[in-house]
Amino acid sequence: MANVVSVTFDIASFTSVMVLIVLGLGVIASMMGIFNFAHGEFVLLGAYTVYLSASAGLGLWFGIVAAPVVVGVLGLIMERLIIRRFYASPIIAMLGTYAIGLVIRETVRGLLGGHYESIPEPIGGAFSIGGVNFSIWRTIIIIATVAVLSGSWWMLAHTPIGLRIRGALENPMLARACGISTSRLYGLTFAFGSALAGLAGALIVPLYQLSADIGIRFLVQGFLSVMLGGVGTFSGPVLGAGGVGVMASGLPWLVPPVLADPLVFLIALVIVKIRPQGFIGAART
Amino acid sequence: MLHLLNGPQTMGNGRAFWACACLVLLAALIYPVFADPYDVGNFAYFLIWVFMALGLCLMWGYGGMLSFGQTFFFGIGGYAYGVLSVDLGSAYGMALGNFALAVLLAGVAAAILGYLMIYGRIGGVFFGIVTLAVTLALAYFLGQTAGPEWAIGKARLNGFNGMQGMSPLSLPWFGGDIDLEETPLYYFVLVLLVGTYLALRMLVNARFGNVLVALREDPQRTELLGYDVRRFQFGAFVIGSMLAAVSGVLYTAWGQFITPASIGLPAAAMPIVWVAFSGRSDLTAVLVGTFVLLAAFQTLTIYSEQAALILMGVILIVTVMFVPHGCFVGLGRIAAWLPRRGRTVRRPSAEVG
Repeated sequence: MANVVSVTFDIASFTSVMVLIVLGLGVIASMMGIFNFAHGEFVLLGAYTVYLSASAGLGLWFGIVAAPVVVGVLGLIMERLIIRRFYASPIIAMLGTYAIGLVIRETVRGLLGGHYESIPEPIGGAFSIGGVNFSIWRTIIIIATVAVLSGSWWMLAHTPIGLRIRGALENPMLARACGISTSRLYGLTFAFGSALAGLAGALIVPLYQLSADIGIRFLVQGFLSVMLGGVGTFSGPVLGAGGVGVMASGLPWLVPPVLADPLVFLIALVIVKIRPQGFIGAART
Repeated sequence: MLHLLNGPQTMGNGRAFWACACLVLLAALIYPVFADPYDVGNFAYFLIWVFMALGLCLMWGYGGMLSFGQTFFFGIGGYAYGVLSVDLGSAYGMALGNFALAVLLAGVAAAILGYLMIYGRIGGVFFGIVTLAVTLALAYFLGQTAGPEWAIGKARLNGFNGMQGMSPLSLPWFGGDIDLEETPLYYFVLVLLVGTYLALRMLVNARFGNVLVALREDPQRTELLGYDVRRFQFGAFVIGSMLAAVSGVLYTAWGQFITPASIGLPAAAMPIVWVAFSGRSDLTAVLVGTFVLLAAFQTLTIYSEQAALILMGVILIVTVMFVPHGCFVGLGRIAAWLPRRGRTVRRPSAEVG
């Protein structure tokens, strides 16, 4: 019983990391129709911000708060300068964002000197309930994910900006005709998605060592989640991320780990073949 | 048949172009006489990658399917050749048999994957994502096969360090096989490349190529005209992927090793960089551009691999932002335009969406 609880906790904490990363990816994919191949590198930048803040003596918490701001601003600048030119052709956007990601990744690799850096958990240790130990930091990640999810949902459903976003998502032409600046909205959305990636990077870096490849391992799983969940809705990518997260962290308990990674891809592809429009979101593809 | 070498789907149809092409080929043929064998081997190494780029050019530039999976089939070809040559040996022309088998195996893999994607109507961005996912899955998998239990016959996969110890290609010949290394390998690759290039030119100027370009421009219209677009996409995908496997086999035979690193990222994006930079809509541009870019990349890598990768990224950003049709296609158009300035000849439009 205790074993089942701790495995479930592990799966839940990995899944929340996936959800956090995929939320930003999904928001950008739904709104602008582009798949941001640099998303993994935005995660990396968030993690790197924490590392910089820690090594500059400002502390881990400052880094964690600063990461989404820094990455969000960077995302905004990139959107204004480069990404906005790609909205008309998603395939070119894929190449452009991949190239941006490559430049960021290799630059950070150079700055890190190819080393792996360990970042300690800001609140270490564990608490135990009924004889089962729970890591405090992983619990905080789960709580943060739930908070971000409900915050984003509330913003979309109950605020004026959320209304505009939903409008621009539903029918960009009509939204523009109603006086909503979709161009500004796209910039904001991209910055928001980047900030989420930055936050995710800052939260997960104590769990994984900081290396230039920290983001790329999540990238393809993130894309699969978005494909699985379907583009165009808020809940689709989140559900997809849940599915992929549970599979990716649960399968190694059931099959040899060597086979787990390919199996996740395989299952996801088969589901996509059966339901090409995703779990949710038959309206827009 | 030969009239198909020239047509609307390829640039460079005039006498001047073919005269230049013959001169370049002649120079390539006599190059080993003047260079030392190491440089010739290096030159062959550049040519090896061009097959893969031409394959991507066919499916992306002509067929409109951006595949991140070229290194997937490159890996299948390379590993299959390695396993076959360790297990079956390479005597009596068996090396060429292994070559053919490896490429065929990649063709089967391409047919399965292509069937799932193309007949499942996965298109556009998702085509790229699915192929990337499959490619990375293979790279992860091969990276974890370090243990002795991961062996096919006598051939150990060796995990992240990659396979070694396969034999080079060899031609059966009277009085003993000829091992294809350095200069002989260079001639072998050159002949194969010229053959492939000419065959692809004929293919894209034939009905197949015309339909392919039509469906790239507008799949729905092509379908309404009565073509089964999926069949043509499928064909282009399988041919292009098998060309990637040719690269894989030649690469493995050239260095007698192959590692998972040549499958995963950033290797998987390299063919796309070459083709995007050169100009995806034309075979000749891809041929020349890939070669130039590879030579430049290797020169840079000697100084710093990171700098070379960052430069690749910058080149890709600049290309997609400012020269979306590709640098060498642009140069080709200027070259085609120059001698005609005086005349009022209407150029056939070759705009690419």
